[in-house]
Amino acid sequence: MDAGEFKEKVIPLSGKLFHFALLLLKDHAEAEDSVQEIFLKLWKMRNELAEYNNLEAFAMRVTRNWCLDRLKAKKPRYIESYSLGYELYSEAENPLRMLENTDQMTTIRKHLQTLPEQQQTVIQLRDIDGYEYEEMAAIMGMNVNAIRVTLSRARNSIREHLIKIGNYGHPANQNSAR
Amino acid sequence: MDIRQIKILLDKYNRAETTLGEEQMLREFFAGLSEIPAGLEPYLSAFRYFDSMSQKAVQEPELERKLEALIDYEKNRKPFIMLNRKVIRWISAAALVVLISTTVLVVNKNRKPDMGTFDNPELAYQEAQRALLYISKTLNHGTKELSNISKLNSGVENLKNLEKLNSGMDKLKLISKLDETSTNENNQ
Repeated sequence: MDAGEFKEKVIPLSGKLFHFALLLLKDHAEAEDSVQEIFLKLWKMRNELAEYNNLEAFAMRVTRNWCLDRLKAKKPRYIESYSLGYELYSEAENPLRMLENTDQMTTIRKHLQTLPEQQQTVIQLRDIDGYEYEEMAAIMGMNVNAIRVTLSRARNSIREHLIKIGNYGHPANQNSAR
Repeated sequence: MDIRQIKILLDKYNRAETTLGEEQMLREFFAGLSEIPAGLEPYLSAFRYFDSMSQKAVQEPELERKLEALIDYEKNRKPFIMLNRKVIRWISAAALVVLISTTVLVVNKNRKPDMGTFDNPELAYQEAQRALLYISKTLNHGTKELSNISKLNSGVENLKNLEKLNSGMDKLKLISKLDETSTNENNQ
């Protein structure tokens, strides 16, 4: 794979990889640094890239493993922020704030951040990026059944959370939520 | 698609059993709604959130420009990069072998005892003499200590006084003579 082919096939994945990294790392600068490192890694193995029949799933897998390794390296902060439910990145540096101008959007994003990493990831991969179950299994190194279970939990969690906090004017829903 | 079918699909969706096609149908249904049916509001919020995120996800032109520049930069350093991983590993292995073997050779060479080679026999003789003298000097140093053994004799000399004891004993023999004369007197 030469530079032209690499730019044509691999670099367009950068947006997805970046948002995936951002989801996992919660830090704009760190996600961008990681994506650059990941692309350097991909560039160095460009001769082997043709062997992967699903290049995108492979790149996503590399990204996830990279980010999880980085999180492991600074674990204390990571655990703390999850268990205490802190806001994981400030509104000021949140790159998505321009898009999410409604309370509902913010609510969903914040709730997603309190979920376990695997649930966040399956929502990102399926409901945002639109991957097939087989691709998700390849990216996450899990089997399809485990992916479905995790995804089901994550979707129910979001829905129940929205029902719980939402002022939908349907008390019946709030009662049936649990 | 009527609301009953949508609700069936949503149940499948919650169990993570929908296909991507069915999920797309749900998205389109919620995107095209003018009025939200009761109980479906959470889904509307969730799908709107996912849509906004996925539209965002594909567009990062600035990042792509940065990465292209990075790749161009890397491409120009190609000769070095081609030496990556496997080649570097082989080179370092070879360097290690060379390093170890030279160290072993040097150490072995230095460990051989220096026999002291002399081309000139006269010089060799002098050197040997010097060495032998040194040895004899150190040997003599040891024999000096042995001279103390002669002091042992001086002790023995003192024992000669014992002979004086004998001379005293000889005088005592005169007493027996006295005994002899007394018996003679009784006989007379």
